[in-house]
Amino acid sequence: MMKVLVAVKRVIDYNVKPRVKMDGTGVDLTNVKMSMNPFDEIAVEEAIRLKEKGVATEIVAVSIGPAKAQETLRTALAMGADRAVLVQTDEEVEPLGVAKLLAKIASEEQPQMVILGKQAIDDDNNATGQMLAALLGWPQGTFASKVDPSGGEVSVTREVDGGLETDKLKLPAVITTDLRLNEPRYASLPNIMKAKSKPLANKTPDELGVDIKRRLETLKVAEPPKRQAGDKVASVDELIGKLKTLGVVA
Amino acid sequence: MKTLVYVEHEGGQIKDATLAAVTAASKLGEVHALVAGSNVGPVADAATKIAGVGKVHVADAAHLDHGLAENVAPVAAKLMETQDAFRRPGHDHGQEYCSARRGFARRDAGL
Repeated sequence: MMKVLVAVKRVIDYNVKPRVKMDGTGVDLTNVKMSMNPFDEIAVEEAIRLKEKGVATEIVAVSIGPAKAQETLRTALAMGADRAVLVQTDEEVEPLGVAKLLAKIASEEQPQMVILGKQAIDDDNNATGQMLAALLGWPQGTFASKVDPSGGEVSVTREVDGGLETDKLKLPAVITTDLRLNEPRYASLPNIMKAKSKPLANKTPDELGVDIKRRLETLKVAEPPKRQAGDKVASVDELIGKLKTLGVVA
Repeated sequence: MKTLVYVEHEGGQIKDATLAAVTAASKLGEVHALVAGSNVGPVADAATKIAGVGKVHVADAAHLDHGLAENVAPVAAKLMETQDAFRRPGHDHGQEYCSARRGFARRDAGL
């Protein structure tokens, strides 16, 4: 009997070109397509594959965010998760707050494994999984490109500078997914319909007794500077001449 | 402000990214370095020679050998009780990144 908890975040769709708000306080999200964070999709897929292999028995998807994050949870349910929990808040949450909420949910649900995306594509923090592992006192397998559970343990292979590193963790454990772990499936239409009747529980940070107060302040959000056009040269001599005037070559 | 820099090392050599982290940290004020691993005497010596490092903390034990986040983070968290900020080399090398983050997490949780 192994229960798997998967955390999913609703973020700006990865195909959308983000626009910075006029006042520079953040990214403009009005009328912008929102989707499940791609790394979290990989996490959901991995949990489903564990269930198909007979290793996992139940998959619980959790999201922290506004009421609309329900759509993201329904996507996870349509892919194959069994039930969902939404911790609803309109505040912008930081990794530590999310990790504390997930730790609370994990203590209620008692899963053997929590799988998360290694980072969200909106804030690129890459912190929640590690913080969650620390809060729970569980081992962590981060940047997983292969997950192989057997008995009360799981082997996690991860890409590091010099090649691959494989760690063996005792369950329960926290795993964060890298791109190469798997290719997430598309939800089929019948499954999307079925997902509508799967259970989705609503909670709030207050109910869970977790303080999600922000500890960081965003000073400014700006677009990267536009790339300058280069110069064209007609001959090698001209190129060398230009490099010399720029002081790049002697 | 005191900043703790985690010294990333492999095979007795300090990785270049550590130097960049020390330089960045030195702009904030005093820099302490943490060398964790087993038989890290030579690495610790090398760390004392990095320009800008005021003090080197050495944690030498067999279980710190591979720099696993689970084992290194508590050491970093303990040291953080007397520091103001934590810095680690660039996040291309996953494991150390994790230890830093876990250090933060524990610290925040503990405060």
